[in-house]
Amino acid sequence: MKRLGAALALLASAPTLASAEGERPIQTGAALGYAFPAGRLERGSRVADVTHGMAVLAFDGAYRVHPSVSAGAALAYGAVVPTLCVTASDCTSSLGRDVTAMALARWHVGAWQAFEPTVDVSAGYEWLTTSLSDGGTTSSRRFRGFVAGADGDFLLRASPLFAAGLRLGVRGGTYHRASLDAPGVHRGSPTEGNALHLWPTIAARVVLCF
Amino acid sequence: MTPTGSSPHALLRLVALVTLVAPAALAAALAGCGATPAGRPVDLPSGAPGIGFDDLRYVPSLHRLLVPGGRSGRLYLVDPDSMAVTTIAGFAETADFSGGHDDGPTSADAANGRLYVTDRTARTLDVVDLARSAIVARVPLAASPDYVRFVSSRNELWVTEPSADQIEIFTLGGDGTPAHDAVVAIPNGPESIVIDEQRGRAYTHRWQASTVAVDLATRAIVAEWPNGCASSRGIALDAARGFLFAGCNEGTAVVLDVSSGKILSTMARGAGFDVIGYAPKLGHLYLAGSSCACLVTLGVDAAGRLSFLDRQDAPAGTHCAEADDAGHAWVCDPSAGRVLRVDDAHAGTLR
Repeated sequence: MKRLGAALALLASAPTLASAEGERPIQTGAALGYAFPAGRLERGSRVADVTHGMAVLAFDGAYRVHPSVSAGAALAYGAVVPTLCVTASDCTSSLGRDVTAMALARWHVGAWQAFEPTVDVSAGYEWLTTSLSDGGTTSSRRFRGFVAGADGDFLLRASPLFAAGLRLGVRGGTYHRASLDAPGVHRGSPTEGNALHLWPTIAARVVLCF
Repeated sequence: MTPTGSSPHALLRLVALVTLVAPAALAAALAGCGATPAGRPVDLPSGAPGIGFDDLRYVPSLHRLLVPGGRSGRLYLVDPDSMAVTTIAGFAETADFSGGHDDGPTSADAANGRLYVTDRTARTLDVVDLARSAIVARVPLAASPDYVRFVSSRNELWVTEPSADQIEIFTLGGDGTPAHDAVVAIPNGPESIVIDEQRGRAYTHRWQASTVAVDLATRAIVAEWPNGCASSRGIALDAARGFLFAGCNEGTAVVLDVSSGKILSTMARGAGFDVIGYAPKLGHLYLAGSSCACLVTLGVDAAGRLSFLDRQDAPAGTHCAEADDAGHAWVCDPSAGRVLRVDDAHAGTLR
């Protein structure tokens, strides 16, 4: 507790920068980070079987509907890192993708001098494609389904317009549809079993307020 | 400290939330690390530094699993019931395990009371007299070998040589010594091989996308079919039903109809498959993957449809599986230089 107290005191002693977020209801943000694979794609298949994770670029926009609550939307694109490629060119060709579109609600926890943490809860839909390319031939496994997420943003406000910081979060859900595109195979089917997957994420984040 | 928007309790709650969630998420991500592999291990003599496995071959007539020990310079014969190991030495041996399977004996098959073993280091096809448990002859190969399979209807040995894009064919003389006879060109292959005596064909993969059928008599490619693989690896056959199985490195198992080449079924579970095994009595297909460190068991029904039966933890780095006729799957463990016998408790699926 002593250390926590010291940390909070340090925050309190930081130069006070005006927080004019209340006067600027629109927030637009971007985050760049890495998401780790966890859980299952479907019965008998783990996310980590096919990917080491993904580099994620996310954009969001929100409007303050209450002094401590904003509502908005987020779109994320992930470059999915394959587990199995051998050559550099095959690895580049084997990059998959993960696209998520979500509605979000943001809780503005408060402001301590320049420190303005927020918590996002979100729900939406995810499209995941994992691939292996070998000598120009590609096999892709695709999954899609509903997801929900929670993110904590630890932002330092540099000006009324700009804030930056760290985002920690996790997004997860259940894929309900899978498909396979490979030489001679193009088929889709419902996923088997109820499998939960998670993407724990760490990212750097910037926010612009208008 | 002067909060301007909320109480310090909210901040503490947030910090606590993140502190709890982040480790839990990390723990979930790491779940499975260090899991104990399923099955009973069979330690192989001189296997401890590691063995580069590239072929597991169950021979019903011998009731033995043939395990070529790449690096150890030994061929192991494992009794599937007692798990007793008979060792035949004399193949090329290397002291250090590189992690691959480029050294020493890598493939074996049985024919007429003898074993035929390819030695990748020596680039030879070695003849083992089973009664004496000793190498009795050795013939040179045209190129670095991968697999050897016996064609009983023609008394031939077919040796795949992917570095030369060919299959080298040997005829067996009266004393069982192989003599070079011909080569069959398989551009962008051959990867794995299985013999279909019933139809007079051999099936082998190209490295990507397709499987070819080679006529055993004319030695010509007579058919080529898309096999559902970006990266073709293992092959197995249900000759009675005409099902050809392709195991793809990316984690897909595919069933082809050998009469038409049509893909009957696919299933993607796990990843990193190489050598696959099939139990025709049960209709079970076994796939061991390096990326998933798992053994996947799939069921095959009478129409060739695949169903998921089971997934079990397997050694990290495993890439080969085989079936015996006593209800077991066998999985290789290269880094420990051993194999594991996994009991298959699932009922047969060929109905």
